Order: sequence, then structure tokens, then C-alpha cells
Amino acid sequence: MKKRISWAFVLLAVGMSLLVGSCATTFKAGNGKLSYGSINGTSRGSFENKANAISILSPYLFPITKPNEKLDELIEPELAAKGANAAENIQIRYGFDLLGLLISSVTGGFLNWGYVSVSGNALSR
Amino acid sequence: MKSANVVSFLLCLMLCAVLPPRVSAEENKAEYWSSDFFGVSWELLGSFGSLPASLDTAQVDALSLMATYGNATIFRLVPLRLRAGLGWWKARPFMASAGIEIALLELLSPARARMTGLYMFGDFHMRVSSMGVNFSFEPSARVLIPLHGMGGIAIGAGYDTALGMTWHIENMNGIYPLK
Repeated sequence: MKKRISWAFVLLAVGMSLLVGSCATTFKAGNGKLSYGSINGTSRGSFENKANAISILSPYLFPITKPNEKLDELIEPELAAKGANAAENIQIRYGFDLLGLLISSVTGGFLNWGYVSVSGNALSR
Repeated sequence: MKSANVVSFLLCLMLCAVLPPRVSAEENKAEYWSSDFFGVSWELLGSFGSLPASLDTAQVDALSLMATYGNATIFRLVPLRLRAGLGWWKARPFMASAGIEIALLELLSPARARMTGLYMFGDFHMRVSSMGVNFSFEPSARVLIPLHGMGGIAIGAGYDTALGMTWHIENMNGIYPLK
């Protein structure tokens, strides 16, 4: 009985470790406008915007902020500032900076302080 | 015994230089991520006392805060990183450490942070107490078990020329920062 419980604990620990360590996350737009297709228009230059993605242990398990699920909120203000209404060549990145590393280290990895960055070319149609 | 361990460590270093390691940190991601690697770790170092190693005689020697720096373009052949830190534990000597870390096998997360890996270390320790100053060298190895977004818990063992067989439990973090 004890052996069974030990093995169950080990399997649970391995499963949790893989789940949390994978750092898996989802990227989407809150308004469903993250599209794919050819867009013709006048170029209004490039844009880049970023937001903190804060979570406990992993963005997949206990997210506190979810900029990755509202990419439109990062893209649309940048387009509006440039007088554009469309974007192409969108690149989404998820990562950390030195501040995030320090916060994670101080909290023993409990608090995950990363950020999501979106960049692309602005167009007006 | 001590010299045999140092020779073994140097042999391992040479093997690392000859064998191309499988390290995902060496992929070309220069456009988005920095080639500089930064790490901060909390490390619990302990010794087993006399041989044969036994849990009954095991004791904690220091809790250290270690900083790690590496560069993927400078150390392209061998993923070698430099590390240094300070440690302390109740009724134990104050400790300063400096050394190298070699990622024998390392997998990074999609966010270019440590995920899992097999690491080798070579650290010089300086222990300061009222009895005087003591220097030692410690080759060691650790396995990183992923546990959070920037790394996890690394467990390993080594041989300190002053303490004998050692054990390590480390909360290991490390990233290539986004540009």
C-alpha cells in the first residue's frame, strides 16, 4: 500500500513538473480579429507593444494577467496612433527580462513575471 | 583521492570540448532574444561527513545566492557559463564561491528560459571563520527538474576537497532575455 502511494506521488510530481515546466500558453485576440490573409493598403510604419504576463508558477496554471489572450488590446492602440486600421507580419513573443528574473528568484520561482510582445506593420485600407 | 577527482573533472571538461553537446541554447534566435544568459539561483550545499556517504552524518554547510552569466556567441563550442556567489549557514563559515557551469544537456522553454538539463560545475570556495580562511575546489553535477517558468529544482552531488562528498539542492533560474 505504501509503495503504491509512493509511486502515485512520484507520478504526480513528474506530471506536475512537466505541466508547469513546459511554460505552455495560448495566444489569441479578445475580439476574434487575429486573422490570416493578404491585406492591401498604405503602409503606416511598424509598431511594437508589450505587456506584463504575470502568473503563479506557470501561465498555463494560475495566470494573474492574460495579455496573451487579448492581443487586440496591444495591437489596436498602436494602429490607432498611426492612423492605421490593419496589421500584417504580426510577430508574437513571450519571454522574460532581468526584472522578471530577479522577481522569480526572490520568490523562489513562485511568481512568474514575464511579458508578451507584439510587433508588426501597420496599414491603412 | 583528491587529485583523482580533480583529474576526473578535467577529463570531463576535455570530453565536453570534444563532443558537440545537444544544447538548444545554441540555436540561432539572435533576432528576438539576447545572446547573453543570466541566471540567479538559491543553492543549499551540504556534506555527508566521512565516507561512506550516509544520511545520518549529512549536514548543511551553506545556503548560497549564486549569479550566473554566459554568452551563446562567445562560448559557442562549449556552453560554458561563469558563476559566483555568497553563502552562509548558522554555525558554519561564511562562504564565497566562484566557478564555471557547463550545460552538458539543456532544453530551454519556448520563452528561452531554463527548463531541464544536465549540468556540470567546477567551483572554488573560500570559507571564512574565526578559525581562519580555508580554500577548496569542488567538481559537481546536477539534474534540473522543471518546476516553474524559469527553471526548477536541481539536485546533485559533488566532491569538495575540504568537505568530501557533497550534495546540492538548488532552485535554479536562468533566461536569455527578450530584446
